[in-house]
Amino acid sequence: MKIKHIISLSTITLLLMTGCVDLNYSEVQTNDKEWVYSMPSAVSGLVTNIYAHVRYDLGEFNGAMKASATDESDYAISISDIHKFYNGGWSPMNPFDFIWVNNYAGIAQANNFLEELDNIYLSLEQYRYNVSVRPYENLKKQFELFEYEVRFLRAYLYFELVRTYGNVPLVTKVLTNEEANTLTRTAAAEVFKFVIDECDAIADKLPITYEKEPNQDINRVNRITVLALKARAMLYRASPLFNTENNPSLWLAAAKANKDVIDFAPTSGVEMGKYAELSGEKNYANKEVIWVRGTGMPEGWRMNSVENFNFPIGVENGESGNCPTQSLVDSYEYKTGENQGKTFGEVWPGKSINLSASNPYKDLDPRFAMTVVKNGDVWPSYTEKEIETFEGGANASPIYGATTTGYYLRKICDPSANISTNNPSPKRHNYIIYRLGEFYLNYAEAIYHVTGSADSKGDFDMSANEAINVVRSRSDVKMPSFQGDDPNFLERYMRERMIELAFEDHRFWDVRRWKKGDRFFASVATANLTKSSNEVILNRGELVRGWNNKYYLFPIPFTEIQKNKKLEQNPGW
Amino acid sequence: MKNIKLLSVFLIFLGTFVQCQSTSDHNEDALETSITMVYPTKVVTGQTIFIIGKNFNEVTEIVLPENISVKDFERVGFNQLSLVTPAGMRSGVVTIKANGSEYSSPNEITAVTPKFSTIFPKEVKTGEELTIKGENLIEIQQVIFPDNVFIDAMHFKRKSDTEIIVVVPSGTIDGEGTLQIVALSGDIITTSPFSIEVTDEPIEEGKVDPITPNTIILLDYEEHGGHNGYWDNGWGGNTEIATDPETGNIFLRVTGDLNNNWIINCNHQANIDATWPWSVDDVENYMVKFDVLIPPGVDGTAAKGMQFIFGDQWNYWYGDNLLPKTTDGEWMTIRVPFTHWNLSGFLSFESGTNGLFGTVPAGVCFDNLRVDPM
Repeated sequence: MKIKHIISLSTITLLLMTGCVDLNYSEVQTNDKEWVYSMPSAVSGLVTNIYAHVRYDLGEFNGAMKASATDESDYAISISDIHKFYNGGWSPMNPFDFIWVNNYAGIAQANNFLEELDNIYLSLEQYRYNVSVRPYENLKKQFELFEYEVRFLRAYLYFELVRTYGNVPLVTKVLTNEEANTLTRTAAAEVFKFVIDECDAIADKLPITYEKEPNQDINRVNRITVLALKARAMLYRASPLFNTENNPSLWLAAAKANKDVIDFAPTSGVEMGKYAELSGEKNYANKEVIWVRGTGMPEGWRMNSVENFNFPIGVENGESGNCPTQSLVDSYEYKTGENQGKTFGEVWPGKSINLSASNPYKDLDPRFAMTVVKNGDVWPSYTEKEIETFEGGANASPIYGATTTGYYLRKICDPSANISTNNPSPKRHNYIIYRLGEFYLNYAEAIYHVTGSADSKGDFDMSANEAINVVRSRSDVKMPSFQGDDPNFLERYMRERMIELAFEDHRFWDVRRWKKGDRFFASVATANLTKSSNEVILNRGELVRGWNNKYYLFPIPFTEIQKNKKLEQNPGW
Repeated sequence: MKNIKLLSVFLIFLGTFVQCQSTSDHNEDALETSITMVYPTKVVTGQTIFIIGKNFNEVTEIVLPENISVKDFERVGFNQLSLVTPAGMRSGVVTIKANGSEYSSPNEITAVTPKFSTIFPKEVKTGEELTIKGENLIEIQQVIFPDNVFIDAMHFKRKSDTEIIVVVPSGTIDGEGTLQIVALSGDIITTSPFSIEVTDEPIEEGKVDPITPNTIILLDYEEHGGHNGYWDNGWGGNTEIATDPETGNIFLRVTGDLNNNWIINCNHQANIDATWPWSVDDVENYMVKFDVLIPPGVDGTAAKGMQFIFGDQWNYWYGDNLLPKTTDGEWMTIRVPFTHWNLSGFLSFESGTNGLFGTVPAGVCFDNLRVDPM
């Protein structure tokens, strides 16, 4: 029996390797078709498997988030792979191929599912009079949505591929290895068009909510999620990286698509929520959230790896993780007081700040305190200890793995999670993929490019300023409004977007689609704190990372090009 | 023996890697044109169908059943063609032409038309769900209620091949009528008659409505020319004028239970700060609004026996359920159209008292009593 298992395992392994799994197009399954169709749960399992390819970045590089390859943060552990994004360790041989591998595997599963639709519907019919399974009508209602959920997921996976690699092979069928090895890359514009066309085709076929559906599986794709994918795809399509001829009609289409999300939100029960409630165990219940990805298996939703990775060194089991930069802190504006409207960086441009003589963090945008932990904050609260980020402090250099920036991460961490060995309190974590706030910002960016004015509404009923003010006026933020036709609107907008969407896997992609890598990512500002005679001094520092324009797109993995010479490499790689 | 076993394993793995390199030998087969499937298999006029297969580079023509030739089609990526099905579609196989050869689909497409069978319930009220049953309804684009009230597919509650669920919209007729169902082809199907009862719009829960240039403010509690919190207080006791420390906004808070008493009582702002128009000519196109904040732990449904007062007239009884159970400690706007009182034509707020009277639990806050266009 044991040998039988070993042989089975070996066979599966061999099959996986034999296929070369070019682009991961393979029909290799551990169960045959008949088995899958013999039970409805297996069919729904096929769909669940495709959902599982929706990635989440709560630290997908052993704790490091892509935020740490941007000016949002720096990863405290020096040997982390995340540093390869800028230290020369990134190449076609070390290509960070997780998106390529994962997404094409998911696409292959989706294509397979769609090719078998007729069989799937036929298999459903055998349950029409079978009382041992769920009521047929309920089953049918679930099955008839699968087709559109799977098409959405395929489009979603393609969107991720195109923003990562630019041109990618666009395939909608199950391929043989031979076919896979003849693929060429489809132009990015065509891939975007496919994503957008698919969204248009399926949006009205998915329910507005699942509240009245017989199978209320959580986090399934609904109508506004489809609009959200289309809107984000439109924004990327209109952005300089992909809109190389600066076609204004693409910005107009992006404005329309993002306004559609905003306008459809009330129908979906989506509305702006509290910023603080974007983090924590119940963030999925924040009404602002459109689509969320739970992490871990259903029976193991609770885990504390996010806190383990990001609670400061010096806190039992804390590893410091993704440490917010001074570049990020410099971007926060003052909410009240004499410096209202100015940024931290504008008010404190000097090399040093005496933190004992003045409190530069007072009156800052409330989102600062909901994102960043600074010296003197009690964090995490169960320790009842103030964080010490000054040289020699309890949570600072020279301890290995201490913050490299002078700050620690609060956002995405659950403040009620206890990571101590003896008294742990694991918390559920959910990764927010789409939330309403993003679409107000997307709309603001797009409409500004259409009208050239922050105050103009064009053919819509909302100006860029008004859209941004919705985000800034949420009940626990209430920042002063954007007003007037500021000639520096785009600068302020990019700052606002960085702050609002910090640590939500936007900055890495936003700076690329703006083609502003050299400006934002070549070096990042840090804070080095020292303490002497009861005075804490913040000295500005800099981490020089460098930037190469080839970083705008990922390299096609060398192994894939070896298998298929028709796959051309991206420029510079 | 052990070595032989190891050698076997090595050879197996070697074979595996050899296969990885053998790409060119099979390219000819990979490049042979063929159709894997046509999707979807049930098609209505105007629907996009996808032909999935390989080596479509040289395809010049698609032939639908009954020899309908289509040369205006789209290539999608590596292996897909798509086209919009023309009128007069028939069932059968799809053929593509490339390099003088023809390639047929392994599966047939079935041309179908949407059909209506029944509608239920037969009597509905506005705001309730109505289910339309039939066949081939998945591409239905619009449902039109009597009096030309349109609902686009994006606002259907649910759509499948066999049913459409819509919410009966306000603005439709009160009485018996039929629906018109608009197919993708533009064809219209008329349903059997059913009965609609128009009811008042439910009070929507949601964010605070903005104050616009068209808003007529009756009382916002801010100070206007010496007309301040002293004058604006409810005059029924158990209310205070409070200030939000963060925003500086001034509002009214009920500090103790108000039983059948004044809640909002304004008989001055209209006179002192009369820079707005203080009357409307077509009140049927307006609604009265106010913002309310119900703190956590307070039950808004305890507000009962509410009545509005406009221009000193006590003709605007509302009753119970004016406030929601909770607003989660946030401000939200309550809206009541003047048609609630069957009003139309001219209405003045210019002189005397505008306000709200009734029973309200302690803790509830009010602000911005106003009139807005619908």
